[in-house]
Amino acid sequence: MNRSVLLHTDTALAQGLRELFQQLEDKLQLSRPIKVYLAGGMAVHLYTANRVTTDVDAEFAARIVLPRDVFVPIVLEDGTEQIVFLDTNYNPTLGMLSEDYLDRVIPVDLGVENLQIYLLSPVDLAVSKLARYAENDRNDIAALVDEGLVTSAELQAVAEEAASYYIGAVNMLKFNIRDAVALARAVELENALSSEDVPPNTPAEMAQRIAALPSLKHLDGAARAFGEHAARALIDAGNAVDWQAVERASISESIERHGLDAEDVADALCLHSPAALTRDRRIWIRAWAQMCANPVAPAR
Amino acid sequence: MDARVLEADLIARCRAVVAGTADARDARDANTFLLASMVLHSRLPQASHRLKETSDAYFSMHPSERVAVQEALNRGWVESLPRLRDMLTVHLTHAVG
Repeated sequence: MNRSVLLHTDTALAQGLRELFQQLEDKLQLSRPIKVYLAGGMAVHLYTANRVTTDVDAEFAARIVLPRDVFVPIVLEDGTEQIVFLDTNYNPTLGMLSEDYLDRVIPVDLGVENLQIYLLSPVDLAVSKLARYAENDRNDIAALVDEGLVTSAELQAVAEEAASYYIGAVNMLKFNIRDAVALARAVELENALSSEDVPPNTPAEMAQRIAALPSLKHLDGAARAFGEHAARALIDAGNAVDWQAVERASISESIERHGLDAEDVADALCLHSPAALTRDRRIWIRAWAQMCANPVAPAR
Repeated sequence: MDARVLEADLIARCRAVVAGTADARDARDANTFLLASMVLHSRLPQASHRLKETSDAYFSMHPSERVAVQEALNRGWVESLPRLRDMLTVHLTHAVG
């Protein structure tokens, strides 16, 4: 997991964070250094620069009374006004974390003297997103993987270790881990494509793929299954086909009924589906295939 | 009115704005809607957008009534930004039409 990390400390949000900690240091009148461990969307922003969250999830390595009025008004690069504020309700024990997360924290120099700020490592940050696993959590994990800061294998290993001593609704957590690892793997597979393998996202390409659907019956495996589902959908819905539903049915049939390899199935759909022309859609297809191939056993 | 009644009223007002059935009546409404839009920006972008639009509409007519965040807190319009975010997240998650 050791890799060099470039932190984005020059953005408007990061500068707001620096001001926030400076303000906090002044209000607390600290006489000795205190370690602060940063999690949440702000930590993701420092790693990736592509998430805008203004609440700061921070764990303090000392008992302190947090003032309630610590905030910094900022103007983002796009002109949007925001407020960076300390989330005084944040509690790291309510999420999921590896017991070893403090061994992996990464220092970040924001120029604040007595608050020594560390970021959760990328993999621990990703794991901390799994208990809730809302849309922004999924996006954060995908962004960390996309930046090459976490691999699907690392995520799986640390998440399963953390889940082994997690107290809570573990069955849902198992689904979340499975889904997040599938998402991470899908991002890795998409990133591994060469530029020639990425189709143009154009109406002409979509029309060409629709025109080619009848010929899929001459192929085997997932391509054939997709062709059959697509033909039925075109008869039923005409121009209003729900391609995601067609893709989902084809993936399910190919993997759950015929036992085909998940990556082969996803490759076939990415190659033939008229809707698989965007990166997000191909990642969804690859992730869905990975999820179908890895069912979660229900808790007893 | 005690703090909980005021908070319940604020949440109800925000819900009505997000549902498209209310506008800002006064400076208090407009400033708190603006704060609410900021704290919800990453969690509920659609709700945040509606609150910002409503606030902007009021300030376009009454530009001098906008106050700084600190002033809104000092006046007791909002007790705590994290609490405002958490309460609105709970109450507005399914409110966007």
